[in-house]
Amino acid sequence: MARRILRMRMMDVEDLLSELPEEVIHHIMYSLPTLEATRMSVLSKRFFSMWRSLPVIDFDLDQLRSHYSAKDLIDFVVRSLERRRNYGVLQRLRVSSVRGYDDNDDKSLLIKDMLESVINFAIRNKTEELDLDYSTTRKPFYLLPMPIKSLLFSSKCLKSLRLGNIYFGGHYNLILTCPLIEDLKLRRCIGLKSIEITSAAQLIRAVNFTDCASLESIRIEPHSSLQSFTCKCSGHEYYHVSCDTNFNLASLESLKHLHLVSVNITDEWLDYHVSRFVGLESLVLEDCRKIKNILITGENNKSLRKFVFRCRTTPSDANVRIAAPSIEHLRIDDDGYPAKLNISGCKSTLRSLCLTLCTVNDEWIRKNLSGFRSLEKFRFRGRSVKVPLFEKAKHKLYFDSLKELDLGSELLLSSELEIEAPNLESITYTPFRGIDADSAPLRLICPNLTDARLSLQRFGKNLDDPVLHKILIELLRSFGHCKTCSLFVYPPILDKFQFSEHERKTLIPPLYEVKHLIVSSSSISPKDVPWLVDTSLWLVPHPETVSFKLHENNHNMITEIKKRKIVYLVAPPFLLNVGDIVYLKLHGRTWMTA
Amino acid sequence: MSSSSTTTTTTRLLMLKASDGVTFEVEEAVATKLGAINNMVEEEGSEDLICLPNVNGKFLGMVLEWCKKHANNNTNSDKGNDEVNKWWDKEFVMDLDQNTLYHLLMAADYLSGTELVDLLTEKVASMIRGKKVEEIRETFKIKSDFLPGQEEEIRKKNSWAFE
Repeated sequence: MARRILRMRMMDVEDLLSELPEEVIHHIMYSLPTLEATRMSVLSKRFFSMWRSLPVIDFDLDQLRSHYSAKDLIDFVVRSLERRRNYGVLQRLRVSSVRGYDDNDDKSLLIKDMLESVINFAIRNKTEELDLDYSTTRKPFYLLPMPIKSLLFSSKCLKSLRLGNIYFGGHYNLILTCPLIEDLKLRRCIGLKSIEITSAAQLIRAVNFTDCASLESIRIEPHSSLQSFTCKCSGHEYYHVSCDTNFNLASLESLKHLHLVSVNITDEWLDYHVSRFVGLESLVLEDCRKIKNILITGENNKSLRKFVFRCRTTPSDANVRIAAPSIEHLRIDDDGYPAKLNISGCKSTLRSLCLTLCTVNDEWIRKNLSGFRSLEKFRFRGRSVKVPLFEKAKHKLYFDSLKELDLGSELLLSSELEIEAPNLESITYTPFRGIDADSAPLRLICPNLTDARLSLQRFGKNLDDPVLHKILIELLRSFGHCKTCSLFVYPPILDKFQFSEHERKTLIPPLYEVKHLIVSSSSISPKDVPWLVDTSLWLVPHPETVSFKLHENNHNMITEIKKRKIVYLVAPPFLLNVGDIVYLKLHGRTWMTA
Repeated sequence: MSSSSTTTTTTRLLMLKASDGVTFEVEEAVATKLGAINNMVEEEGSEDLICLPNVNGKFLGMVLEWCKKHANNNTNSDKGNDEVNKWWDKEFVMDLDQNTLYHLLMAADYLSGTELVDLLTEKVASMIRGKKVEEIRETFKIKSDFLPGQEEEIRKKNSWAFE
C-alpha cells in the first residue's frame, strides 16, 4: 500500500514527456510551428539534442522577417544550418518567402550565398523533400550554378522537389534522373529551355510547371508512371511566357490528371494525346486559345470523370461536344457567340454541371437542359444576353436528382420558368439584369426545398413602388415554404424594401413558413434600422431567428432591437432571436438585459 | 441490416494478451488497425493468441476501443461518419491526464497505430502551443539540466523565438 502511494507520488512529479521515444518527440515537434519547436530546444539538454536532430527544417522567412533585418535573417539561416547535427537523412527542408521583398543589389549576393548553402546542405544531408522559393519583386536573380544543377537533378534521395524563382542561366536543358522522385514543381523558374523526365525517374507521379518562361519543350519518357501533369502560364510581366511549349507526353497510359492553362496546344495535339491517355480521369483546359474544336467521345477515355473548359478573358469561339458517358463533373465557362456547346451525350451520368454561357438561345436550352437523370448540382450563369422582347419563351425544366441549384442566367430568368425538382434542397437565385415590370414569374415545384438564397442587385427604374412591391412579393413567395431564406440586397435598392403600413395590413406575408431569415447588405444606415426590423418581421411572421449581416457595428440597430424587446444579438453579424433570454454580445462583451 | 451481414464472410477473432495477463477478444479487422498486429497476422497467419508484453491491460483496452471505433466507421465511408469520428476522437483525448496520455502514446507507438499516434501527438502539441518555455516546463514537470549560461546561449542564437 505504502509503495503504491509512493509510486503515485513519484508519477505526479515525473517528467513523462522526456521519457517518450525520440521519434515521438520529433513527431510532436514537427506538428508545431517552427517558432514553437525552436522554443522547445531550451527545455532541457535532451530536448536540445532532439531539436538539433529534427529531420525537418522549415524556414518561413516571411515570419522571421519581423524579427530580423534582411542581412541578419540570411545570416541566421546559414548559421542554423551550420549548427545542425548531421542526421543522415533529412526528411524535409523548406525555405520560403512568398511575399516578394524589394531586395536591393547589395543584398542579392548574400541571398545567392544563402540559397546556395541551403541547396548544398540539402544535397549533403540526403534530403527527401526540398522546397525552395525566395521571391523578390524583381526577376529571380539566383543563378543555379552548373555543378549544383547536375547534383540536384540526379539526386538519389529526393522524393519531392519544389523550386521557385530560380534562374537557370538561359537555354538550360533540365534532365531529371532522380530514381526516387515522385513530385516535381517548378514555379517562376526562368532560363530553362527544355525539361526532360527520363525513365530513370521511374517513380514520378506529379509534375507542375507554373510560369516557367521560355520553356520550349517538355518531354516525358514513354511508359513512365506519371499521374498528374500541370502546366500553367499566367503571363506575369517578368515571366512572360511563350506558350508555344512543345509537349511530348506520348503514350502516358498512367496519366490521370491533365491541367493546362494558357498553353497554345492545337486541336490536333488534343485529339492525338487525349485518345492515348487511356487512364485519364480529369481534363482541365483554361484559356487555351488555339483550340477550336473539342470532341470528347469517351471511346478511349473510359474513366474520364471530370472535364473543365474555361476561357475567361476573351471568348474562344470553340466548338465543344462532350459525349463521353463516364463524365460526372462538367464545367464550361465561355463567353463565345454563339455557344457551340453540345452536352447531350453525357446527360445520363452527369452529377455536377457548371455553365457560364452568355449567348445560348431558347432552342439550346430546350435541347440541352433536359433529361438529366443523376444531376445533383447545377449552376447556370451568364449575364449579357440579348433577349427578344417581343416574345417571351416558356421553359419547363425537370431534374430527378437535383439537390443544389444556382441560377443566374439572364436568358433563363427572363423566360417564363417552371422548375420541377422533387429532391431540390437549396437554391441560389441571382437576377443580374434586375427585376422589371415584365419580369417573368418563377414557378418552383420543389417540395423538399429548405434553403433559399436571393441576391438582388437592381430594380427597373420606372417602376413605381406598389407595382415593384407586387412583383417582389410574388418572387419572394416562390421561396415561402423554405426553412431558411437569405436575402443579399445591394445598398442602393435597400429602401425599396419599405412596405407601407397599408401593404403590410392587406397583403399576406410572402415568407410565411420561413424559420430563419438572414438579411445582408454591405451598409445599412441608422435611419433604415427601424423599418428594416419591421419589414423583416412582417416578411417572416413566425421566425426562430432573424439575422442581419453587416460589415460594421451599428449601435442604432441594437437600440432599436432592445426597444422592441426582440432579443439576442451577436455582432457582427447580428443575430436576433425571439426568445426568453435577452443578451447582447458586442465585440466580445456580453450585456444581459431583462 | 441483418440480411446484409449474412453475405459477408465470418470475421476471425484474435486474442490479445496484455503484460498483466488481461486478454481481449477482438475482430481481426479491428486489431489490424495496428500496424504491428497486422504484420504478425500476415507473417504467422494461424496464431490466434498474440502476447503483448510491453502493454498494460488498461491501456491496451483503450487502444482497442479506439481501433474499434475507427474500424467500424471505415466500412461505410461517407462524410457524416468522418465528422462523427472527429468528434469521437476529440472526446477521446479531451480529459486524458498526462500519465494516461504517456502510456497510450507508448502503446500506440509500440503497436504502430499510426493514426492514433497522430491523434495523441497532436494532443501533446496542443498542450505546448502558445506557452512560454517556463510554462511548458511547469506543465510537464521538466527540469532544466543545462549548465549556467548554456540556455542563455541557445536563446541568444534563436532570439526570434523567445521574444
